Amino acid sequence: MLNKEPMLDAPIPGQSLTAEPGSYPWEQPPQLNTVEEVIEKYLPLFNDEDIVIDLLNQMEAGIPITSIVSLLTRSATMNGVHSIDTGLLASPVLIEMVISIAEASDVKYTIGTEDVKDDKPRMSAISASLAKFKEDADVPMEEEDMPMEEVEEAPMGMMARRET
Amino acid sequence: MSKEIKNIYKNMNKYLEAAPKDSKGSSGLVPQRGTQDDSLSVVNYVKQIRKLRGEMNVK
Repeated sequence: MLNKEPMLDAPIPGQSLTAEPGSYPWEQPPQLNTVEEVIEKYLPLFNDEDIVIDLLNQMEAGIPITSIVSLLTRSATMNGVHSIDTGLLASPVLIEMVISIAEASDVKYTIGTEDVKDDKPRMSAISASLAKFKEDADVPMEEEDMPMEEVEEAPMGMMARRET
Repeated sequence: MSKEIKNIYKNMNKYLEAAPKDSKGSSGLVPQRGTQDDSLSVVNYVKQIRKLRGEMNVK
């Protein structure tokens, strides 16, 4: 369905140029420069019980592991810990670690790379059938001749016989 | 970014499946001359984690 409301939360064109260059953490040189450093930064996270429980809850909720890892690396990139490319390169190791945690805890998980057979109808097919339904609904229905029952009118005069 | 991560993971899986399995050959210096250690640290990490996971599942 089309969203007719205007997107008011989108940035104004040129908004990124209004702040002082280097004022955001991701505009600074990253704290970690190599993939090994990035991996070593993340590995202790998987020993933290609270983080592991959060991860398991997310996987039980059906969130794919690639999305979880993407969120992890993106937030670290935003905080200036590492750059996007080193985060991307380290992501397979993080995926494997999360899979290991899920298997050790007997939690069902989806990696996110599985080929999903899409049984859902396409949006174009839905809109086409909706348009056809609308067209059919606009055509006036032919009225069938219904046999009318003849109702005898009861005599209303003063001299008429009363029903017993 | 999730899409790029999926692509990297798929490509790494393909690489690992195509790579020859570890063969325990002779430990002499001459047979080892031709073998090269995987220079990609990420692949090494993934291999080690999978190996550990496999051992855990067997137990």
